[in-house]
Amino acid sequence: MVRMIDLNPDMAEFLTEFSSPDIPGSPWTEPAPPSRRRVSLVSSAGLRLRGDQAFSEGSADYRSIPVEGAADVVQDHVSTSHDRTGFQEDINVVFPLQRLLEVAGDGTIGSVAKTHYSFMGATDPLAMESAARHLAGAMKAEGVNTVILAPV
Amino acid sequence: MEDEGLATALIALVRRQAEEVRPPRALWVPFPLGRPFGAAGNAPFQRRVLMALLDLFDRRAGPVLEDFTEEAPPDGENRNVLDLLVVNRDGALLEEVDGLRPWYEMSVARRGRTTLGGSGMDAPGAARLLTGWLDGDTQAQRAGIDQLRLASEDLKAYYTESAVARTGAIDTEAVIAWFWARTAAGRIIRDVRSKCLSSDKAALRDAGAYMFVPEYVND
Repeated sequence: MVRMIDLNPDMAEFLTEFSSPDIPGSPWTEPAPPSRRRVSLVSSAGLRLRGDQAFSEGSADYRSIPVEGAADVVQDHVSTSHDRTGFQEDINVVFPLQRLLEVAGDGTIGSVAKTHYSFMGATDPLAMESAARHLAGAMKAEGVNTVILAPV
Repeated sequence: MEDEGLATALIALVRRQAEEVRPPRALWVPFPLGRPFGAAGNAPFQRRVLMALLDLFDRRAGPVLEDFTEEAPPDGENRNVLDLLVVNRDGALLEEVDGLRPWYEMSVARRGRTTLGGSGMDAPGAARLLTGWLDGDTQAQRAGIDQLRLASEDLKAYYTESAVARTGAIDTEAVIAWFWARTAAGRIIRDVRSKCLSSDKAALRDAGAYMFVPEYVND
């Protein structure tokens, strides 16, 4: 059954015709063993803590979301094309921090980072490179070696 | 990030984009945009998605693009609650917002959070901004595109959160259809889009094209 929250034909055509940026090279980092993986989440849903500066259209920077603040985030994503009712009901369908804490608790991964992050989707990915490299430095300073990337 | 020495794994909602970009590790999922982990309020399902994603870190070489083929279960079939909410597409927006307040508060109490507040306004404040902007109110005309956009999203959140006051096991498609077809808020946001589209300012016309009303909503 085709649902309204699924891709409508116009958006499906846009996304399938969309020309992704040419990113040279195929970087590959050898993952740490599971017990030593320290994991951080990065969303492109335009999430931020309620009091943080709002994202604008084309924002290429990111917002930090500490574990203890993750229950009170709002979503600024510029597009109306994606369904927000799931996010409203359960943040974990977009930003699965609780699930990550559970798999750390049972030893599937080593630990969960204290801080997680969000960019604003629908921004030119190449414009985000500087902020992404800066963010990588902040993550490594916190001991993160593994990153889950979750678009919306 | 991979280039900086971090091992990454990506959820891919649009498979063709992952095929083009060739990230080191990607898991394509058959879910609607807006739900990268599939099902709200369904921890076991979300966990299966997460585990499939974490499994990609065990591959010895990449790029890796694998498929998660399990469809997400539907939210629910309940739509009767929508008939209990007093809305009137042709009525006054502020009255409608005020009437929904008990439902909204019940919803916040059930879920322990709200996603309303991106604009920095409450629902009546967002309603006043949008109606004032449509009516040519001098102060409201100073609102930028972001402020109008965030007020619009906050108003939508207030209504859709009110609709799930009693349970999240509800027909999501029915909630979305209800908002756009039956509420004054849906009418006002469509009017904002129309005014943007007829503006002589290109930025407003661009905003009107995609920042207020989803493509699947017909006039």
